[in-house]
Amino acid sequence: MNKTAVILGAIGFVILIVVWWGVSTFNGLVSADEAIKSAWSQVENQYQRRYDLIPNLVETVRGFAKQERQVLENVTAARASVGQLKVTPEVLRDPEAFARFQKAQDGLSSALSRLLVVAENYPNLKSNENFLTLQSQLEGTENRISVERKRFNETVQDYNVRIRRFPGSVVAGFGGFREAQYFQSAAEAEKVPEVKF
Amino acid sequence: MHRYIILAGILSNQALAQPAIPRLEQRVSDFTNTLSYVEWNSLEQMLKTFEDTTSTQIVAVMVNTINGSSMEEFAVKVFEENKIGQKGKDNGALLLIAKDDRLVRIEVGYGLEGSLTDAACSQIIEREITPRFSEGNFYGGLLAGVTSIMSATAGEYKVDSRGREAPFIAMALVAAFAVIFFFIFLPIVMSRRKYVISRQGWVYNPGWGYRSGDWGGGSSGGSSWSGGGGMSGGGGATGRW
Repeated sequence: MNKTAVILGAIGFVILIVVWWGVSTFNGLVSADEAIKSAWSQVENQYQRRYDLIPNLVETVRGFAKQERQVLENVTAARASVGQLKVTPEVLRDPEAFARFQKAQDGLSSALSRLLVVAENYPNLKSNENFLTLQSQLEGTENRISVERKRFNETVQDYNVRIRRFPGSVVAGFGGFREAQYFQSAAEAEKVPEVKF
Repeated sequence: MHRYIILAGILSNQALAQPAIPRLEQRVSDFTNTLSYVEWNSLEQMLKTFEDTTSTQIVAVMVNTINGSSMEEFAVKVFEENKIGQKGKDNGALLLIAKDDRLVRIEVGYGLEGSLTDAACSQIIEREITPRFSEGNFYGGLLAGVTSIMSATAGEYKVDSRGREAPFIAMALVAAFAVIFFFIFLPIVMSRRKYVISRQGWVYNPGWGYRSGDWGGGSSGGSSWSGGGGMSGGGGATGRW
């Protein structure tokens, strides 16, 4: 009689510990997930900021370099394709949608860097106050994007390690936590466009 | 799997290429033996006074070279490592110079992005700093740069009136909680459970420790300086001379 009570007590105690561990692991995953969201919103802010800078930049360049139609159109088209993409938290879990998003943004980056390279050929443009301001804002924004992307990747890495490492992966499986996506190093996109003379 | 490999590759590459990140103990750190004591001291005192009155932390660092790595990344790392700016306000700015690389960067904390815009930084670099640097006038360039940064940020953040008393308020709160804990919470729980001692950690919860950041930066003065816990997000501008 007394013995069964002790055994039941011990089992109950173990269950209590397991449940307590499960709950705290789950909560840890929830905060890691939230951290991803806030890191993501920083990334998104910077992309948005860049999106808003472009119309002015395109107009300014057009004023001095009308003949560069192709380059200007490429930027406008790349910007439009970025605008079409809706980014919901779901996208962060969907490899295909995420790759599409990244491809569009990287496409815009390379269109913009080509525009800046072309601008080098126009001394009047290069000394235009308005252009210089926009250029420094754009450079600053590109740098912010890369900083926030790096921080986002670090946050995602922390989360993914948590949901994949063994005991935590059980809780993650029950809670429906799915692996989040990284930004790939945009090696091709950031390659300086070739300039032919 | 590939993702991890790629990511690990990026991280290790950066680790290899990056020079050591300096741990700053002053507002003006000259690792190149360029400034005389009088010059260093005048900049240091100017920035200290500015920080005491506005709580904005402006820091100037001169290194010899960044070994061909990215100036932008290096600046973010120096900022991260030293947590320039007050915690929560992120009102810090870093003026970073790589003398032999002839590179200069202004890195701006999140909280100052409104007044110290990328365009403003770029102008300060091109109009105030690099013309003097190319004449070899490093003190003049630093002085002009720091002064312009100060006037750009001035007014963005004032020391709020609670600023100085904050630690005492925090201590009073901790004391109040300790009283509640020992005389109300503890006896109640003690009467039910025995292993409550482990909960004592709650009193020392790191949540209360954040005030230490305020002590570290800002008004403490003295010879030793440390950042207040600020963050930057890559804002600012880079220039060369």
